[in-house]
Amino acid sequence: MIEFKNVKKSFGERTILQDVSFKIPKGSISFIIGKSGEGKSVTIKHIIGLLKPDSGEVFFDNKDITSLEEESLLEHRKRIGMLFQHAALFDSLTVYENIAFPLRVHTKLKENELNDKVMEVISALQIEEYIQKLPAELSTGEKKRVGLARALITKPQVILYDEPTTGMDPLICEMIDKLIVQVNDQNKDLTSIVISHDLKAALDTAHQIIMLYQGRVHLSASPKEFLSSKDPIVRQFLSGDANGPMKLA
Amino acid sequence: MIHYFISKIGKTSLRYSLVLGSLAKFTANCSSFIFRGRIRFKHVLNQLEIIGTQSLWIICICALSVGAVFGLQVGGIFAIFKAEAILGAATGMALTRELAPIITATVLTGRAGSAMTAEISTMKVNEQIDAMEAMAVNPSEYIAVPRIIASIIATPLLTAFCIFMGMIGAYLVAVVIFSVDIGIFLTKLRAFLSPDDIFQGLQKSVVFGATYSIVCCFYGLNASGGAKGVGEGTTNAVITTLLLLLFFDFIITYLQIVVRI
Repeated sequence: MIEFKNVKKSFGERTILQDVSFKIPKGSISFIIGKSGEGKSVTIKHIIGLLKPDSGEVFFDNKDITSLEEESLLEHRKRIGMLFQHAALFDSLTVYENIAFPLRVHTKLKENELNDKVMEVISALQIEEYIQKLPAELSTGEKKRVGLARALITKPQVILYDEPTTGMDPLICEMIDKLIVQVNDQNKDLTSIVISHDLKAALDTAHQIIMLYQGRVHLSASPKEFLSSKDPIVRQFLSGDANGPMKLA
Repeated sequence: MIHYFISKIGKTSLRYSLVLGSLAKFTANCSSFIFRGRIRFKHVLNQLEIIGTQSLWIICICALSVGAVFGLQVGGIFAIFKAEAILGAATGMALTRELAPIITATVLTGRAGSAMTAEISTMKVNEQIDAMEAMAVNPSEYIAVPRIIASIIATPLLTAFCIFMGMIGAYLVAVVIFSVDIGIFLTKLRAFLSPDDIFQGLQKSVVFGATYSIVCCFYGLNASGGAKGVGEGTTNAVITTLLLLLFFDFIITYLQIVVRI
């Protein structure tokens, strides 16, 4: 469903993606992992069309999205939901209005129809108690749930999670990991792509793990294959050892 | 040493050329949304309230003060020639053609423009603008266009208010301090001031309204680097706007007086 073919991306003189190629099947949960600065966020920004590659192609349902014009790109983005690292909720809007935002902008639903759709997502994610609060009044975990509700409201085909558990306590991490699986189970054709440093979450929940290293896909495998890999870079990443063949800087 | 200065000048020129180029592209982009009718009227009304109504009191205070001070300054000189009677006309000319448009635009840059940049750049550094783009919403259309339209509408209206309040200030100075007869004050004002003067001032204010809103939105949408980036963006937006206001003021005045458009 999503395919990267020889994608290269540089910022100034710094090359982030050297030659990235991988496929993500429809309906799967895929984790993109790698140490900081390997281009994980850059990769998902290519999927949503916020960045264009210097060379190479990105296919979405067999259509190359790198050549899309602005208008077509906006249509493409409507099929994708994204949960940002810090949720990126609009400060001035209540939780309810944040979740309703994509529908208000893109549809002409009547207020009662819009309310039904918003409440459906709100009850699925169990966030009824704080719908009238402002984002500043929420905890980090609550913000993530609201961000996820906003990403799901338009019933996207793909949902992107940008480091959903970074900097959170283990209980919240566990809750968010379960939420990712729950959302994927509830929406059969939904493809979930998660950027993470959290190996445990990747091994527990992913169907596919893509490891980026030095601007390339170092390994694309199932969690089982990933765990049994003899590759020294993968072994070092799994062990979390600072000493080894992996260049840290 | 010479090499260092030449390279410094070159780099600075290049940086400003790039900023101006991006600003021109942003202006063209926003204009295309306006001319294609992609305008969110509810947002325009909200912005009119923020930019227009909420700025009214500060414009009134500034205008009253400027009108009174200008009246005092010219009144003092006119008094030497026993020509205090034309104090109102002189203040009126200065206010309508020059002072009101530039004072209104400067005050709005400081009050509404800087708030625009700070608000938008905070959204930018907190990834809210990225989130908007990810939700297939163009930030220029959603955030900048309503602010630009509201500024273009509000600035001439506030300029008209500024002229009115400035004239009240001048009137008080003329009547109370220089003992000018009310009838003579108004007669001279009508004799010297024409509707063209007011129209020329309002022409400027339309351009000024577009200028500060476009520049302030541009710097907001291009902010980066956390709280420091918000501060730098706001400062740069205000400085660039003030320089552009002076530049456009000269160009428009030249066109109005020399070319007579």
